[in-house]
Amino acid sequence: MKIDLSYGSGGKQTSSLINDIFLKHFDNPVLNRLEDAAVLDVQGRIAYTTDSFVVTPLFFKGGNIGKLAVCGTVNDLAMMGARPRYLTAGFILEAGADSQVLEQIAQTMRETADEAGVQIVAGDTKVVEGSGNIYINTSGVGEILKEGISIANCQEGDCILLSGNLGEHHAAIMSERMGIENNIASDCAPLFSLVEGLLEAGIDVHCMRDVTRGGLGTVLNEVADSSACQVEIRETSLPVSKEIQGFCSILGLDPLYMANEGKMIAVVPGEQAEQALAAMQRNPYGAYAQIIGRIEKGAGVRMITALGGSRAVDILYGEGLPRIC
Amino acid sequence: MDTEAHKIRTKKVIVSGIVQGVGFRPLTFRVAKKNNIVGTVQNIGGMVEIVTQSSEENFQQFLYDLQTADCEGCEIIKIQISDISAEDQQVYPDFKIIESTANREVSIIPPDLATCDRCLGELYEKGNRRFFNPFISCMSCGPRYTIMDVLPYDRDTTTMVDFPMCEGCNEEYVSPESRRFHAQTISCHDCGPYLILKEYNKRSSQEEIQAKEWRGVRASSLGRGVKCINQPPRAGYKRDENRTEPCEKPVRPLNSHQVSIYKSKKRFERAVRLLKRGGILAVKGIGGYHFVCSPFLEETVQKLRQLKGREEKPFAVMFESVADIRQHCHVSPQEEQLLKSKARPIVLLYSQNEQMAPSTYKASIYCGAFLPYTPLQTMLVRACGPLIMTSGNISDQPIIREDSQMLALDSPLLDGILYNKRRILRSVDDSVAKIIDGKPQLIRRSRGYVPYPVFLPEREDNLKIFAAGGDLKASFCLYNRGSAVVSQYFGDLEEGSVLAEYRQGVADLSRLLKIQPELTVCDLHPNYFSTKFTEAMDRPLLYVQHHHAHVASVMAEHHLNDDKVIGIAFDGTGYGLDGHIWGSEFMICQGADFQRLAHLKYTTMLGGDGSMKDAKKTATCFLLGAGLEQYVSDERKTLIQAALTHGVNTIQTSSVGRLFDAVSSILDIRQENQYEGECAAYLEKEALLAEKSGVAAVPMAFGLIRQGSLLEIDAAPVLEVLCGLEWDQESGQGGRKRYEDQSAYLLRRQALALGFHYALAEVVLEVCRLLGQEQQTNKVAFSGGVFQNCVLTQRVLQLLERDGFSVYYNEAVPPNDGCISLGQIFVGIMNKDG
Ligand SMILES: [Fe+3]
Ligand SMILES: [Mg+2]
Ligand SMILES: [Zn+2]
Ligand SMILES: [Zn+2]
Repeated sequence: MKIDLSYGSGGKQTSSLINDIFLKHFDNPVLNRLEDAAVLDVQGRIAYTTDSFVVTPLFFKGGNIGKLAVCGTVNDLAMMGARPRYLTAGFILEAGADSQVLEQIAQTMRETADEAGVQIVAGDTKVVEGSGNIYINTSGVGEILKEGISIANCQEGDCILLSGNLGEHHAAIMSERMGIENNIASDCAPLFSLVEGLLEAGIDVHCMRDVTRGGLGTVLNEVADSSACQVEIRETSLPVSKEIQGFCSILGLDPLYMANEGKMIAVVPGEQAEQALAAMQRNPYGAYAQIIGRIEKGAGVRMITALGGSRAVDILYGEGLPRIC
Repeated sequence: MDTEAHKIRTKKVIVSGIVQGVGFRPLTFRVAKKNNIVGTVQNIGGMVEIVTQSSEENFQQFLYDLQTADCEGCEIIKIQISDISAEDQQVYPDFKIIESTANREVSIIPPDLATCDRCLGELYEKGNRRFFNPFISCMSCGPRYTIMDVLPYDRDTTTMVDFPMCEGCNEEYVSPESRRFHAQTISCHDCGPYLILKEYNKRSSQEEIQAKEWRGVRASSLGRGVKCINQPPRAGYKRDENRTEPCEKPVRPLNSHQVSIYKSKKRFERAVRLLKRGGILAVKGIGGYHFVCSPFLEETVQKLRQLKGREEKPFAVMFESVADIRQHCHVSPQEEQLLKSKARPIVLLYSQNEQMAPSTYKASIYCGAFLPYTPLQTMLVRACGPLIMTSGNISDQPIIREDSQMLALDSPLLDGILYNKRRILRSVDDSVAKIIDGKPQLIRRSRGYVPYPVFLPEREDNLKIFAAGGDLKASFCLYNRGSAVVSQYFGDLEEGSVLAEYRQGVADLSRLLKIQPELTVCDLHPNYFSTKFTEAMDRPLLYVQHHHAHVASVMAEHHLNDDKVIGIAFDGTGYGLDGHIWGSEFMICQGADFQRLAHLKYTTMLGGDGSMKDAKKTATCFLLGAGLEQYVSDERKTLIQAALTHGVNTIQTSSVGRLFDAVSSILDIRQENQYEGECAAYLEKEALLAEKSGVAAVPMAFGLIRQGSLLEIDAAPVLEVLCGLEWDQESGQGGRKRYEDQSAYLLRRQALALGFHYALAEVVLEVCRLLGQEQQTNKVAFSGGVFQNCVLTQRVLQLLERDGFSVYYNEAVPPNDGCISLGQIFVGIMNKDG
């Protein structure tokens, strides 16, 4: 069934959309009350964030826009050392969107929310003219478990851990867009369990970041800037799967700048690095975790290359512009 | 009776070239005296100005003597003579050296100079104070730029300050008759520096060293110099950090002078023995260390390749003499002159050498040959025969100049370090050059040339300018009062340690030349490290398009200041005004302005530096872009095609460098650039072989399409002909073509390679004709790395000159990105708003 503008009128068709899709799948006591606002129980200080999701195509190997919308927001909460608790979800549907597709997305959102330990407690839907596309906004709150985790908090001698292989989400989306058949799946995943594992192991985490758009290169530059330090990474320690390596080398892409949706870095005191690595690797989402580098005095990001040289890793400007003659 | 020849005339003679810091004024003085000439000589802005008053006959003799005089450090590039009018004349009682006046003076720092013949004579003269002294030098030879801390050039301001002069040396230093009068690098066995050998003996005692077959050394050269003592190495000689000097006891008591000669000889002999056994030595030179080994021993050369990292480039080989080189390479008179020039560059010579180990220069038809330029090098090649002498660096890092760094390298592949304690203040690589069209073309301008300036127009406002250059083959340029000093070669700035050297180099040369730039110039490429560096300088900044800088460098060299010029820039990658990757630009240039009027039709390619090295992928992109899909043999075709169609990480490029890569791949010559320009070099090789053996070029032609004010060159028709090598067009099935035998295939391939070069030259002519008519000019200036290709360059020159064009190209700087900083300076000078 195609959704048309009448579904956004606020009338009967709108409520059928809400009842048959959102309430059916999100189903929880807070949402079910259908009050003007959700009333929530939380403990202590909270982290609060929002993000909007736009992706073509809506479905890809390893997930869909719904999974992204939940993971994106819960991961942002988790990176602040917070346990994600509640989400809201706003849907903007273009006329022509398929209700079955929407239902599938909602179902995935519920499954992902369950895994992440959050409830979707409020929502909104609008229908606009267009060609059947779907956009989602999610907001979330979480309870702070450890104070002081900050991108400005990295200290000389800290080690940087990366939770797993680079570039998978980006490569999966590209493959999908190009209509290329391969085994590359998006890494889209909720990461709170990884964070929890680190905290439970007693790691004094200084900083965490999920490695999304702009890739590791961009995130590390943010770390170096905010903490006024130099980030040094080793090329040989960067985890990249064989398949992604091959894909990237053909397309001329650098995994360092490719988007991920289920990867994080954690900056921890040097002496706890091995312990933190073990904690990460115990989690399935951290199976390929690596210690990729260190925080040093200085500025910017430097990569020790496989040949023993070093090069500056800058923020990417203009995708793929070759420099060499 | 006063004949014309006896009339007294007053003339001004301006001599430019390497004429300062090399004893040129005392020489002029002597020659003037000899020829009864009165007048003056003085340094003016890097040139020497001589005023002469004499008869024409004497003057002519004076000029002749001056040019043929034995002043080995000097290199006269140009002599301009003008008459001084009667009213400006004065009467000179005698001939005088006028001291430099500081205010108008532009600092000129002499480049490092190869050992002169007279010093070499002394080196092997028994009984001479400096017999066998590996650091012998004089007023006209020895290191300069690499050991100089500040100006003025004085012993105290060089690293020779670490070696106080002995009495004997001091005597020479202060006596005006001596060749070493004020020779700042004066030294001897007594005052040092001394040779030090650190030996790594990694072979266990039971594994007796087998003397390797020592090919390529003529019996005669073995006998000369010092005899190699055939002692077995002492068993169990272990690496000992505290003991760098071997300590044999002399048999008879010797005086200290004799002891240091003895030690020096001993160490040298041990070094020679190591080399002869197939060892690899790090040898300290002028601008840094070299790795040195025999070019004849395959195993050793492979070890050297391992030591240096992924290096695939041919190695340079040092020979004792031109006669020795002739045993391996063809040497023309111009090449001989270049080999022997003071700068002693590595000269790429045509060679079909079968004698050297395959790993020495791989499949290249060029041998990078050069002659020794330090006394120690002379001693080594005399004792060992030809030696690989490659810059002492690891993969893409800067050449090592610090002893501590070389000692710390601690590689099991290295057998020893032969060094001394004379500090090198800046790393300066060997220069590389070749002869094209009978003239030297620089490929890397560094030791021996740097920091000699290029003379450019002066700006009225005396603006001081810094130009950052490009990112690869980085070298910057500093400009002040008509003198543009292009720095040494640094390498690829992507490498952190190279960028650090570059950064330090800018500070260093600005300090030496006392230039605080008021205008900075850099490339337009947003991701260039040099761009970011210049932006961070936070001064008025001018961005210059890469190919405009290429052409401007030629305009700078040839003083095409106000002329309207058809500029051609053929190279690999340059960031264009439209955000695309340019590389085959035809532009009209005048002053600081340019307009792009023709280029190779854009091809959509996959982005990233890695893609630029993958010639097979490049070929696939070119063939898909040209509608020649049926000839694509790349197994990655589906993915590449999908990416091109969907615009995933794509770039648009008009790069002719990439076209060479594509052609190299299509003809199955090379599929990958393991080092820059490899594919193009081997494509050139095929064309050159065809030319040399008289194989006729296969006819083919580029298309030319007018797009509004732009002309687009279409490579599709040429690519289709080239595809015919592998694929049978007749059958229409796109099947593989069969050849009777391998040689028929190879001949066809050479003919196609040559055809491609000729077709490209033809289309250059065609475009120049059109633009020349349109723009009313017959001046053509070309530049860009692609013009390192002799076959193309000679053909282009021939066609254009036959058609009446005046053609200009780079001579003082390389046509590759080594010229960018000079071009940027030129645009900075010409820029009226700057
Ligand atoms: Fe260039
Ligand atoms: Mg986010
Ligand atoms: Zn000399
Ligand atoms: Zn002395």
